[in-house]
Amino acid sequence: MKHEMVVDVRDVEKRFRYGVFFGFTFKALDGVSLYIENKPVIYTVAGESGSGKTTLARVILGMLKPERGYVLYRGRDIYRLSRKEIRWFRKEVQAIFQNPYASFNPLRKVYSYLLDTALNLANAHNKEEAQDIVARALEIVGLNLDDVINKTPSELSGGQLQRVAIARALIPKPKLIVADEPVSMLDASLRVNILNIFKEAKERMGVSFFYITHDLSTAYYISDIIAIMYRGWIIEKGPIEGVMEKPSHPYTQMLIESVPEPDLDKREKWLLRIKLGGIEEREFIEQGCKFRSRCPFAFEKCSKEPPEFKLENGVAVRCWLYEDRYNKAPS
Amino acid sequence: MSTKEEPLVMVRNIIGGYVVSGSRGFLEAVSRVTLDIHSNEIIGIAGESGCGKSTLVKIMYGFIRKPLVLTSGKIYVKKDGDLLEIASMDEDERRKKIWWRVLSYIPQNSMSVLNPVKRIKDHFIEILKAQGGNYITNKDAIEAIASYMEEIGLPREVLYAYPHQLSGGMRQRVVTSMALIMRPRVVLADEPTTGLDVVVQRGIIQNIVESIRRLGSSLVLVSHDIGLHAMMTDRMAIMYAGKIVEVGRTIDILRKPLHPYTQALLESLPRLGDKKPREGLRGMPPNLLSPPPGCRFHPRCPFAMDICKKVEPGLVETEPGRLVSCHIYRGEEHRR
Repeated sequence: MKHEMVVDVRDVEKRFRYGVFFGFTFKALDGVSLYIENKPVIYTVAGESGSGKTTLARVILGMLKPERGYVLYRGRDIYRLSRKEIRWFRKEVQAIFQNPYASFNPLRKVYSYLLDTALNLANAHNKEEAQDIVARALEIVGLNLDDVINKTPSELSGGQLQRVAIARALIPKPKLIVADEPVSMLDASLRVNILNIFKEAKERMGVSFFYITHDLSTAYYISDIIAIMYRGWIIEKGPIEGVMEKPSHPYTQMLIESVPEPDLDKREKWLLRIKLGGIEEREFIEQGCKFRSRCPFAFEKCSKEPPEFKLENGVAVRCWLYEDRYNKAPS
Repeated sequence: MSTKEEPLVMVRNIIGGYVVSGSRGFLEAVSRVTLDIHSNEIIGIAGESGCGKSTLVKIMYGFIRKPLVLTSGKIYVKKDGDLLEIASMDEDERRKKIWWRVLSYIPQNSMSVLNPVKRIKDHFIEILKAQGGNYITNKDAIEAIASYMEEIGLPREVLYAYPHQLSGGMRQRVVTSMALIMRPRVVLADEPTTGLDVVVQRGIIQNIVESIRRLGSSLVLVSHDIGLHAMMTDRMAIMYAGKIVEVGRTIDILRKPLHPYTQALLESLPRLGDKKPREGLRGMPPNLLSPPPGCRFHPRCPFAMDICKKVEPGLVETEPGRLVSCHIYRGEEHRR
């Protein structure tokens, strides 16, 4: 059963220390579980700054070992891989980051990166084969050879370079791509082009994606499943329509209601006064539900015990409002 | 807003930009821009990176420091019944006559205006003393500031905090309330909530809108986020490659965009609850060191005609208050 999962993240906890002399720690990830089944999906992990979404991406990529819990990739614990398995994992799981200029050596021609990737990770036997593979990858991301040949990263626009980064990620024929805010640095009018490439890679090549973002509109546009994070917790997860069209958690509701959209019918509700928090944010160290100090529905129980996942309309939600109404959900 | 009353600010034919090092030339970030700001209105300036929207408000505010250069153009501002031309003023004169009381400015990065070694209260005291004269005692000033803070709903502890002790959202609220304390006629806000979380952004924008309406002032909002414009602006100006390509009421621009750029931009934006496949713009904005001849959008425009490659279109008024700069609308001039 477990082996049918592509990725299986189980009860992961990642702590960070802060403060210069005193050893304060906070949990960037506090018992996070999620999985991707063995069929191509786009799985969004959404949350605001400090929610832990980037930490989760790094944990899944094998870059950051969690203190507790484990991450299985096709049944194997990614922090206990043999050298050979590491090579296999590096080929099967690719990453795309927010700033494409930081992912490339500024002095090196981008085409040589692509060729090297084809030679090293795509089993190209010679240069001709590698060139073929690169040409096909460029075609999928909508670039011509002329756009990239002899170009250094600084000679490409942000949108073009992000396409190159995606082409490079696709060359090894990965099963999973972890994309951390891949479009947030691009102009709005170009974002959807990149998102369309993800959709196409999913449909044509069977690649699954973890799409890490703070932007719910783009998440809605491309994803099948979404997990909403808040201060190291997943507070709601399920099919995208279920979560976004009928959000259960008060935080998800607040988040969706606050997204400014190019839709004048939304204005009146958007301008309804909301309360802003105090000067400091202490939620990391508090007990009970982490959202309760901002929650309009908080009651006594919320400050005592952290809520467990409950199933509500096919969506798993972590909130005491839904206590006892349904059986405990498999998380 | 739609009355025949004279505008509060009249921006006329502004050309400004940046001297690029290595004598590679002059980057004309704002290219012959004309715009009116009316009383009691929230007007948005929208456009994508490099379109010149930030440079335009910097010039409007008169914060023109190297490498930014104002090449030509005039900015008229109404003050106590007089019309002042501020583009020719030097910074000292602007500081005395214009800043804080007539025009004030909210920057994107609050840390760029907050002094990290000074408490928040000292920032306010400095403004009050500079604007109200040095006879104001610190005690009176703090009293006034504290009641102002209460009025706008900022916790009093904030006054005694240093900037770094506050969250990004709280810092932005502080900077916003600094910009509003002297009851300016026009507030220029440059991406005031970019980078903040959506819930915090919503709260801060609500504060700004409420204060502006209460003071009967006007707000110029610069933002790349069309959604934000839809939530708060009365009118919008769309910029592309240093030019204003379209002006109109927000409702008209969103429901019936005229310029092909605005149309493509709106079409490309994903919306909650809508999964229909969308397409983004093709190509990229021109290099402003050597902009294309004719219409600057023509290389990316699906409707480009021959004339678009040769003749630069001017802003024409298709309906009262509705301006567009595109050859498609030639012959549809309302007047002018």
